[in-house]
Amino acid sequence: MKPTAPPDPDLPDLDFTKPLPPEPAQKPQPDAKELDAMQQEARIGTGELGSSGFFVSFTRKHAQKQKTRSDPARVVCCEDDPTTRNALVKLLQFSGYQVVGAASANELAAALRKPPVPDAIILDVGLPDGNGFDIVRRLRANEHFKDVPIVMFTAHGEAEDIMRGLLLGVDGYITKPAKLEALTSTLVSVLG
Amino acid sequence: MSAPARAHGNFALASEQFLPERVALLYRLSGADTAMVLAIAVVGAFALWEALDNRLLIAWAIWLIAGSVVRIALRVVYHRKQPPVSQAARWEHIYCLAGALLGTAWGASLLMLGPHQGSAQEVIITFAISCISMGLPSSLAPSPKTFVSFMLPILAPVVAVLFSSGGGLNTTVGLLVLLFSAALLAFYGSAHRALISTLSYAQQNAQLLEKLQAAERSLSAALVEQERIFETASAGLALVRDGRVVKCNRRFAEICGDDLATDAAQFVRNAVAVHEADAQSGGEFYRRIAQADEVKGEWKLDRGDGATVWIVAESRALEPANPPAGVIVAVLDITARKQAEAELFAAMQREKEMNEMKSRFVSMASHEFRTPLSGILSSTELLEHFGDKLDASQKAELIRGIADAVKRLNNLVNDVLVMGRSASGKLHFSPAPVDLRSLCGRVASENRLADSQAHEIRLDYAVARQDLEMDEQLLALILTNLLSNATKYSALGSNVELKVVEEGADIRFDVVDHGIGIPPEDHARLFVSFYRASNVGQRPGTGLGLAIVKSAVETHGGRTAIDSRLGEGTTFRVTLPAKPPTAE
Repeated sequence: MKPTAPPDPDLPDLDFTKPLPPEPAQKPQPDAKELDAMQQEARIGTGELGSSGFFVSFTRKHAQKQKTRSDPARVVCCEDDPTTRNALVKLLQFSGYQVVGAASANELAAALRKPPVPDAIILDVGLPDGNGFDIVRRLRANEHFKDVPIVMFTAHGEAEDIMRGLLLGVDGYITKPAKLEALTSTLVSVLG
Repeated sequence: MSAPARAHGNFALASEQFLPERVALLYRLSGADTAMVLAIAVVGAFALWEALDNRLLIAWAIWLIAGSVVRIALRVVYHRKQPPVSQAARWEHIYCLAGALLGTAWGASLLMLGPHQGSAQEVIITFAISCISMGLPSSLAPSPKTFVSFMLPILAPVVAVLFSSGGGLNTTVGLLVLLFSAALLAFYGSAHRALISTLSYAQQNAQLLEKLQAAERSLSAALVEQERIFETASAGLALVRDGRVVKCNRRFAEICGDDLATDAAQFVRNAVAVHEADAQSGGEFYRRIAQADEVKGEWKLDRGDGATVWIVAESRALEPANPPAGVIVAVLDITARKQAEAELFAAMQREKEMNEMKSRFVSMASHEFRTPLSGILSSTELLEHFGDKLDASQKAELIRGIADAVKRLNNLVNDVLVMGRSASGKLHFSPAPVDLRSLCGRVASENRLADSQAHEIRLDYAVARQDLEMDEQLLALILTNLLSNATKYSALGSNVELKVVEEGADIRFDVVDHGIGIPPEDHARLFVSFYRASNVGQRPGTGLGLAIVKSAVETHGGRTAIDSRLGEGTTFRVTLPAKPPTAE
């Protein structure tokens, strides 16, 4: 196992209980063409949800910002529903990933503070002590995690939710309930 | 057709036209000159006594008196009879006939008596007759026929006798009499014309007077009509001058306030004062009409009696060039319309909120359905693909997870169904003797099990009564929902209490938590379906729980109350009758 460049072991600024700084009034918006493409993606995604009845998933071609990655890939999976989390962790483990489960935003923060930086994060939106989208904002603002691929795994499957996630910079968006292959193929795609 | 034209242009026609007036005048004047005629006769007789044949004088006196008597008699008869206008011609003929008879008698007596005397006598007689005759044109002016029929039999025989007697003097006197007759006729003619003119002017005056009266009548009728229109108009109308209501109709007083009637002079000023505080409402309206501004718009009036009226009003200058003349103000009461608009707006607002709540519910419900489905799908896939790598306890855990998820889904479906039933009034109330203590214990422990965040649920049961009759299902529904809310919205490990106490004939249930609390502005609508407080954040929920509680409590004949402090906690209080009210 080849350890990645170890970040600051304490990651003192990663505290999800701290109040989130207000969003800037002038959010950096993607240009019209890109936004259009995203909306197209979101529409197709929700359309698939309607037709397949189970999941929508798509990934952004992440620019492989992460220079190195561990082998097997380290994935942190944050999901509050114990049944789903339990199954998810085992499924990913059997699929060859190194998985850490987290039941809440606080547990996620605790897991992330332990080096090394994970290769991907799977994140639910509705957490008992926080909102997944807010966590994405914090992570994207953090020097150590701004390039870590994040895959949303949530029951919020409306096009607006998907757009929100995409604009915040998530790399994959899977709506619950989703089949295992959706999850693994998304992970493969974001990990490169 | 002017009166002078009638008098000069077509004299005969004019005479005919005024026949009734002429006849009336003829009879009225008849005998009026009797005193003068007799006085002249007496003077004449005295002067001529011994100079004339006395018989002639006596005969003359007799005929004068007889004539006067006849004229007076005719006048009296006419006055008594008051004949209708249609008989005017007949009465003229009667007078004419009387004149002719008298004239004939007079003329005959003259013939019988003369001319036997000397020429001086003839001249004197002729002039005496002339003098007396001079009174006739004026008294007989109304009737030329009568004049002619009286004068002709007097003068014609005399002239005839004078000419036929021969001799220079007789011929000269005859000519004089003829000349006199002509003069008399001309004099009569002018008197008659003057009379006709007078009558014509009188008629013209009468016509003018009638026109004037007709104009006055139509004017007053128009005024009455205007007054009626003014009073019965559905719009309030008023004339405001210099800030005073000079005139207004009843409707204006009804709309703008009854104190108008008692103090019209100060009304507008008072009204401005009443509205001073609120420049946007009626105050502006009153101030502007007091300034004689032309306004148009809608205002809200606070009336003296405390009522509020919405009006649409318009004012126009009475005389645009002269603003001090005041403004005419028209006012319509649109309170009902405004209320309807407000109600419609509120209804639309409610509908909009309802729709928003429904779409929130749909989004929330789909989320709530998907979360357990996700657990089931992941667990079954795990069992399917990697079942051989799992040991028995891991498998058992997965299967328990699936069962939990199914139960959660089932509860969700039940909630929706209960809500549907209560919305359509199908929630049943079947009270029965109940062991409340064990029911409460069971509900509390079920909630403890369902609570994944491990709150401590404490039961504080302090009811001594045993004779309780309640609907167990409704009660379980109420308590389960309240307890699950209490645990859902409070911090991990905090306490949740269920206190059950007696309160008179009722049982009171307090569910106390130390959670996030409920903002005061949300209290009123907390029990509305799909409505969720603004601070629920990401906590899952459909907004149905409290709506179900309210519905169940009401079905049970009880009441609910909330006491909540933001950040400190919430107490939901449900009070239910210990026994259903006995039907009497």
